[in-house]
Amino acid sequence: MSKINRRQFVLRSTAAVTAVASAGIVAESLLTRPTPGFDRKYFPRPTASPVAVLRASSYDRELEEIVAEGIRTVGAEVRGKSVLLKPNLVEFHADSVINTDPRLIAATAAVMRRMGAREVVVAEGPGHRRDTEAIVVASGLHEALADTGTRFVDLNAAALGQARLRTRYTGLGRMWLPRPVLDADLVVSMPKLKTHHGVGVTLSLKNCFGCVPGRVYGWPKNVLHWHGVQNSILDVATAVRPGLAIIDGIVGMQGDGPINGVPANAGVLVFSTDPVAADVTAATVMGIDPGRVDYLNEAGRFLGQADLDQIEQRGEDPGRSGMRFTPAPGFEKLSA
Amino acid sequence: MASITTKTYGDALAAARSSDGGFALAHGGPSETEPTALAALALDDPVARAWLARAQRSDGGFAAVDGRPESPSVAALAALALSDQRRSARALTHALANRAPTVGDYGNEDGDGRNGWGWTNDTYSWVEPTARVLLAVKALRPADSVSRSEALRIVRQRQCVDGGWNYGSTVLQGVELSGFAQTTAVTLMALQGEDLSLVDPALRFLRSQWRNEPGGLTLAQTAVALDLHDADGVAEVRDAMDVAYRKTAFLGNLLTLAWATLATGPSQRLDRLRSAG
Repeated sequence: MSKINRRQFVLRSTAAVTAVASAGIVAESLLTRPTPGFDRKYFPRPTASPVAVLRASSYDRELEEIVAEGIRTVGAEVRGKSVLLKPNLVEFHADSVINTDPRLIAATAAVMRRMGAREVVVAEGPGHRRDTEAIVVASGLHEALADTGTRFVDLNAAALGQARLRTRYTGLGRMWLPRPVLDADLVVSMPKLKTHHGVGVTLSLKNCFGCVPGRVYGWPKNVLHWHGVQNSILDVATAVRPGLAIIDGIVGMQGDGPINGVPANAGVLVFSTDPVAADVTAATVMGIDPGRVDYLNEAGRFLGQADLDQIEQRGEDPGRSGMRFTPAPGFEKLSA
Repeated sequence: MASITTKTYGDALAAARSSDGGFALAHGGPSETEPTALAALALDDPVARAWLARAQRSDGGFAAVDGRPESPSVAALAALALSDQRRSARALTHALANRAPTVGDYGNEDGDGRNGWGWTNDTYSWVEPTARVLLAVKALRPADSVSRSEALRIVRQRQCVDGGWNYGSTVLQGVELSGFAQTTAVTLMALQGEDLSLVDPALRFLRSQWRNEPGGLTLAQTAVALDLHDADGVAEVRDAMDVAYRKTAFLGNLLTLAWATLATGPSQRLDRLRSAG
């Protein structure tokens, strides 16, 4: 596995043009970062982290049991907590697999309640669409949540609070985030397992983009793209600080993700209390070398464990998935 | 199905007014410019207009929740909502002056600095914000042919092959993108009286697409757009909007509720949005 020399670590800059989801993609220019984006005093070196890759053959069978097992296996504490489930609902197309499956979201909400969570809400601020309700209804999420009595919160419309950034990747200094995100005891990042044409892979760290309110940062989170997608992933994920990742890899997306790719049946769910470890493991499941994903390498310096040798795999061996996701165009070098 | 009346939408909206006279985006939040502007139009409401007047900055713009100047696309809506002509003109002038620094790398930037308008003042231009500014220019300052041409150029460049508008560009990494009903509805509002080669494909697209985007905002804006173009299908869209409201209560979104009120209210409430080509 390749590892990027820390001194050579580069972040994609916004000085020129940036990758903007459906807005016309361009290769981001690379700039060497002269100073670290974080202070060690705030971020001790990541220690060993548990991850569980569990088999899940479909969205219709035993999902709650698998989710419960995953949460228990990685030792996530749920009892008494207000839990915010953050799926990926960037936009909806009936003939595609862009979003976290509503059945997994509903099953997770039910499990959280069963495990003693004080409150469970599902929350998202879609990146590409102003009409959140249209996505929630068309995707089937509204119906799935109604069945379980779970409330949905539109993070693009929720009241806001300000978080001081302890990282300096974007230089924004502070970030406006929805109060439900700031106030939750436990934010659970629930992305789809996808390749991404701007940064290689989109998993639990990138999924945090959906916590950033469109009415401050634009659609599709213009300010974040302006400051560089990888820079923004690091700042936003640090501010949101998901305490649990549950990655929907039952059916993922390969190729020109996160929107125009094609389905890839990986048949797994990935769990971890460390989102970096979860993403590194999930990339491995996809047949992608996480050491070649710039932002994962950088996140591994301070935000979580990116060294596969330091990740305790408590489920399936991710290296034995046998999957070879087709990388996004321009990211062919990421294949392990 | 018996249609939910505008009184129901209007009553629900009026009941959600914040104690300061403005409207939040969602229940319990602080009053903000965009939902207050829409509520002022939908309810023809002097209290909401007074809130907008108080919120207007000395430079004519409005402060967003983060304290930065509000998006030009929001200032444009406020300009439409304000009844005081001086305040309205200052809001529109502020919106027009805050054009986006770039359209992104589409290959369609003309290098003249006239790049349309964005969701924020300091990043890219986009279809919907540009359309909202165009709507305000045509309604309030029809003699400003320069701003109008700039906006029309952006809108024309970004019309998808299906006739609608995506929120962004038309092609992404070689893949043709499809339009969205919501973006198309807002754009069509701004295209009253314009070239039929631009408008007709968009109306066809909107009529074929709105059922696939079953959210109150999309449906209300579709109804308004069709109404402004005297196009068929308004009643059917309103019925679908009623269904959505019964099912989701628009997720408690007061901006959507304001658009629904506008879409079902007296036709003269739309007069502020009417314009000629």
